[in-house]
Amino acid sequence: MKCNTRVAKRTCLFVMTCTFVLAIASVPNALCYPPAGSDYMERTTATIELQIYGPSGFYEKITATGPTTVSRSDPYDPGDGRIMIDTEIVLMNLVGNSFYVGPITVIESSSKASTGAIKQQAAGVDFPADSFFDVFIEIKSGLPFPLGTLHNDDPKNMTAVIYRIPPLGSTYERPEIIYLKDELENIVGAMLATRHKVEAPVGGIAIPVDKLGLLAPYVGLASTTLAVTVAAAVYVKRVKRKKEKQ
Amino acid sequence: MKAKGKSGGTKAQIRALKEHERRISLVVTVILLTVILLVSGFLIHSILFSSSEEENLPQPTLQFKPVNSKSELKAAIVDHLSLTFPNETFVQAAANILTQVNYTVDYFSGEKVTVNFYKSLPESGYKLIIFRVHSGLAPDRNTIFMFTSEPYSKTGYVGEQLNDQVNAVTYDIHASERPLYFAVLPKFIKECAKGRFNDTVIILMGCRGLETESLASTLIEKGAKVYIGWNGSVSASHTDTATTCLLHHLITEKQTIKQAVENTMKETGPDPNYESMLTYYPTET
Repeated sequence: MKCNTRVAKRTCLFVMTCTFVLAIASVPNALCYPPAGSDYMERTTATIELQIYGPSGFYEKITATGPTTVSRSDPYDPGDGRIMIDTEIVLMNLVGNSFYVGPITVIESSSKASTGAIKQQAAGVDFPADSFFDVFIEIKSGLPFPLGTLHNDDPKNMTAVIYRIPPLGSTYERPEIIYLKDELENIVGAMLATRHKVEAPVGGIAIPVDKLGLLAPYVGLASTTLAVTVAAAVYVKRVKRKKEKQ
Repeated sequence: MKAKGKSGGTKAQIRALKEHERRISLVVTVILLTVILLVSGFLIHSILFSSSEEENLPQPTLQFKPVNSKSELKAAIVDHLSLTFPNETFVQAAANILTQVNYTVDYFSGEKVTVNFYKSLPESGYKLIIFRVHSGLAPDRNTIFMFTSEPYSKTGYVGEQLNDQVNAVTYDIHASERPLYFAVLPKFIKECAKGRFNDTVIILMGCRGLETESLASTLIEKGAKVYIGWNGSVSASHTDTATTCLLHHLITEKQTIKQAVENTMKETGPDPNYESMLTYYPTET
């Protein structure tokens, strides 16, 4: 009798485990902010309205393209219930061409950190989210010293509403004027309206489906049902045999 | 002697009774086993091979009415990209072009684009369907898939997964945490979609829609008149610009498919990042 109780308990435990595994497997993937990490965005496009002062100055809208990498902190609650992520541009290498100065390269500042953040617009709702960066850049060109590398000391604040992380398809922009300095720290020009778009294809990739894995829970369920039925039948038979002996 | 005979008769009766009971219990056990097996078989079959969700086309998120309200022309904008690359300007521009020539435009936002949505789309009688959806090429380098907004689950659409009608897909290729979704494959359109398209013009705005003819030919077999798509990857902004231009040529200026596609490519050019071109199937259209 004791043996039968043990078998029944074990069977019950097995059935409960199977049910639990099935329940876990049926929970869909949750959408939420990812943990700390970095996002490499292969194709980003910056459009910079550049104004250079002086007698040989010029105004030009320059487009430069290339990769940008952003590092992210773990999501946290700053106190208002709207989850936030600290971000920083750790790499930017955009290449373009100027009608006046030839090829140019726009890189993230080597001396100042371009930090920013992502924050939920409404508590508990991940997207759309507000995102910004205070950007410090260096514009390198073939111009002679001290104009070869221009930089900004005041951050260029760029904002966007984003719908995913990484913010593919979003455009960071701000029209405010930020002065540009040469290598001798003289103001020689300014960045006017600036846009930085994270290009993204409207495609995706297929993930191979493990067909055996798909069937496993059902095979397990069928086997369990069969095992329980056979065990029950054997148990009934044994009980009957015992009664007959008595 | 008499008593012995009586006792022997009683024993025989008891034995017969026990035999009868044993037979009954055997029959009951067999019936019980059969019932349990049938019920579990039915349960497993129903889980594996049927989708319990609503199979009718959902109500559109928005409906744009035509100038002439008596017109029966219907168009659909299936805007799965509204979840990741929303562009209200595009939707408004496309709807304006279509309503001007008396199309009633049903707009389906991203969350409505489920597996069952694709199932019931052909029989809905649309003359023009604009799929503003993520799409891509499966690892077999032949099968084109279209995204849904349904998060992928191993327990969802198991029968369809086993039959290569739906698959798990992701668009965040570079993200560390890739959310997975269900996508429908041409085999799903062929075998599961209800009814037929109504000489429908289908525009697929996503990537690689015409890198192979797998999806195009399936849709044509299913009653579509022509299928227009990109022969490679395309960025969201470029596909929006080009499709607006295409609709202008095709609908407002009533150009042929060939003229409209060629003029669109002349005006917008190939995608600046991926160099893909808009093209159409069948080419003799």
